[in-house]
Amino acid sequence: MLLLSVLTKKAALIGLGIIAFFSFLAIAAPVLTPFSNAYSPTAWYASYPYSVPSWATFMPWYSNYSHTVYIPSYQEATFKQISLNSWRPALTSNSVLLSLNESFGPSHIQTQQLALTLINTGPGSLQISSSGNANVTLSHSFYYKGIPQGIYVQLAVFENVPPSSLVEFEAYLVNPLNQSFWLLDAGTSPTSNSSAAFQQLQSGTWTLVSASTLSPSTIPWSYNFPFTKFFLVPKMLTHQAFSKAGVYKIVFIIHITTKQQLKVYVSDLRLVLLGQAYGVLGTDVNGASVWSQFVYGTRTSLLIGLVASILIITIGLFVGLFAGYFGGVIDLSLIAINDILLVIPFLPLLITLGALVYVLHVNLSRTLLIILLITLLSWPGTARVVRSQTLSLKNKSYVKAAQGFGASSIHIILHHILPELSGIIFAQLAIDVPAVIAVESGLDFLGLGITSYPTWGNMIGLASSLFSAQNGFLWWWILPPGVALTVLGIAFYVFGEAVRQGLSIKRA
Amino acid sequence: MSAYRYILLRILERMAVLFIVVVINFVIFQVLPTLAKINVAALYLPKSTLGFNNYQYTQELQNLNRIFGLDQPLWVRFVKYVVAMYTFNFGVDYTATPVIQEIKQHFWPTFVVVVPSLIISTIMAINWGMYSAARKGKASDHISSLTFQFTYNIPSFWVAVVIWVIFAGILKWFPLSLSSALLTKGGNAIHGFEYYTRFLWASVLPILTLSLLSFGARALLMRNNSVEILDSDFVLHAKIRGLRDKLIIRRHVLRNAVLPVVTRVGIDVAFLLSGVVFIEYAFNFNGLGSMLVTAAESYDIPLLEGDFFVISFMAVMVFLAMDLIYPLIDPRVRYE
Repeated sequence: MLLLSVLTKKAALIGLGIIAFFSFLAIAAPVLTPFSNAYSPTAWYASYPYSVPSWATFMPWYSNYSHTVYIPSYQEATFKQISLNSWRPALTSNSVLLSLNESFGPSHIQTQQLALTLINTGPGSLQISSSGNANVTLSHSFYYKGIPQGIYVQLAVFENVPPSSLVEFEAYLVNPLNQSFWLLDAGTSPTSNSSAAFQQLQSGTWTLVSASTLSPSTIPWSYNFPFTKFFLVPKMLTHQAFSKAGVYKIVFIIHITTKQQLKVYVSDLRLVLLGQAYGVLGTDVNGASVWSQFVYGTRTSLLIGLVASILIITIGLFVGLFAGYFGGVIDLSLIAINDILLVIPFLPLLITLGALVYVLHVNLSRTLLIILLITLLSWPGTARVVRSQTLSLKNKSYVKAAQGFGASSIHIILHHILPELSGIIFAQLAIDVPAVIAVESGLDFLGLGITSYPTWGNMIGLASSLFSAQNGFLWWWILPPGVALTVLGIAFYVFGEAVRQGLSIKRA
Repeated sequence: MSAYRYILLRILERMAVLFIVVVINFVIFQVLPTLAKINVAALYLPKSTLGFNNYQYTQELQNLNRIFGLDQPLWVRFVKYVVAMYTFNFGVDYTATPVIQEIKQHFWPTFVVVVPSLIISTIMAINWGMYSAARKGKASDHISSLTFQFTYNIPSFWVAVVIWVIFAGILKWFPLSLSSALLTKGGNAIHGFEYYTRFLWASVLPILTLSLLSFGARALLMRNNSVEILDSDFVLHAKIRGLRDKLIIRRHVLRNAVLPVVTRVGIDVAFLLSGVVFIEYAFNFNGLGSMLVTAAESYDIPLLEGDFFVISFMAVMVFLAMDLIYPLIDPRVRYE
């Protein structure tokens, strides 16, 4: 009934809609982003550090920013179904046979410095079986505009080749001017054609070979220059290769030299052009997705807000009911506690308690500790609201009548007072959740809260600490969590107001 | 005579509150560690930062126990603790500096931020609330009310960070931190008149931000009070007498409406002293608030203890100041 009267109000509906939107973000987080913890190194370098959101390139001052591109797009990294559509194969000999092996794929590959999503250690690979010399070419064409900040290329290989045979893998980038750039060189053993950046494959296991402008020595093209000039390679390679907008081609060539029957499995072919614009909300200092931080921050905030609020309201309801109904020492102490908490600044007390609990070697996770401390300091406020409401209900004539008929206290509390309190509890929930979220974010901002995974407070704290003249205003990193905190706070406020108004109408 | 009685009573009342604050400090810093079976002296003597061997460490602990009586029964410790707190004797922190000296150093930045913001936010609240009430129901009233609620719901640390980045970082109108403002380009300390002007220059943003973020609740209170009083009979009577609106507001409404707002100042101080932690941290304004964060980060218990006590002490003192100002505004308060 109360809910219905609330839902007819426009402001309350908007508030509820906003809350529902953030709840959706929190619940759907694993679907919305592949990175569950942007602070773990496996989530770094999803794009170049400090990339702006990809939609920001519509703004004139970002219009020349290059986009981060994953080739092929994320889902097709392993050979699961029809990746051959994406990788146009070309064969030079009839002795070679290409097929998809959907059950045998990369496993146990250690992640390197780049993002976890690059490596899809699921089942599925391209099976190449050959009985004679052959060249297999896999290529993919794509349009690109602008100059990326870095290039990354990888493939995963499983080979168990006899010593007399040779398998060599090469990757080239071909630009619209038909210049080709040798990006990757790997094989079972080096030949006279191999470059200085040759990477040896391990026999009998899945090996991930990768080359990246972040470490120029892995790229064969770098060896056109003396080793002392390698620091120039990232810039020179990207500027020479991407001098013109147009259709580019990434080519993987597999040279097979054999006289016997052999099988090679290839998977996780990937080219990443690390641009300056990426994803929904760009990247942070480590190149990790800010969108993933925002989404998982929403999850953390709402979860902590909800759990702490439920605790606060449960304790507050019990104490408030008892104090209001029976009075006495509990009532007096409740009032005293409230008066004292009114004087002592909340945040300093919270900080002090948090530091002390740590010193006392209490074995609790940081998240749980924060929830408990906030609850400890917040329940008296809720208890007081419940108390005053109980006090006024207790003096209502129908309660007096029930008492006169000899109803027990428990009966009166359960049947006459508690149902009447449900509205105020609902309204209190709308006050407590945003308050808890704000306090928790504040602690994170100060670096005294959760530190191991991203939250809204951590985002603001880290982004502001990294401000420098060179970085400028990291708006895509600083603004979203603050806006979210504000909008969510107002949504809860509006909703709570509507509930309170609904209550007074009902009572009148 | 009765005026003195009122003042004395108020002071006693607030001293009692301060005593409870001391008791809370005692529970946090002495009783809890004892319950957790940790030697209290060890909290004040971090093993890691001092190059003692085990024997020396035990000696030092015993030394501390002897000086501060930490091994004595709880009630003896309590008496000693109360005396120590009331005399601001907080011992030395982990860097072997007396805590009181650190507090003295960091007190003025906090004071310079909190007191002016308290005054500015009150003035803003009274004027804006009054303005809003006088235009009740009009668009400007709705916008004002929304603004009041907005300032209350917006996360203060985020606003502070954004203001800091824009005005200090990008536009460079204000210094990036207090310490950088107080140094010359060559890195030397500034003395004399310029020191004070630069101090004020650095405190402009923190003061304005804190005022903006804390005036909302009182402004809303002021508006609602004023609306109620504007509807009252004596205002109607004044209107019938043909008094100008401005005069009615100044003479009849303002004084009545402002009383609850002044009472509310006391409550807002606690709120303000929470906010000042964020503000100081965001603006790199090294006051008691940011010192509290540093102390908590390095688990410097003596510093934390002294700092927390002084912040609570400030809150109690402002409450007391409000008690003493109140009879000046409301002559109906009888000195009894």
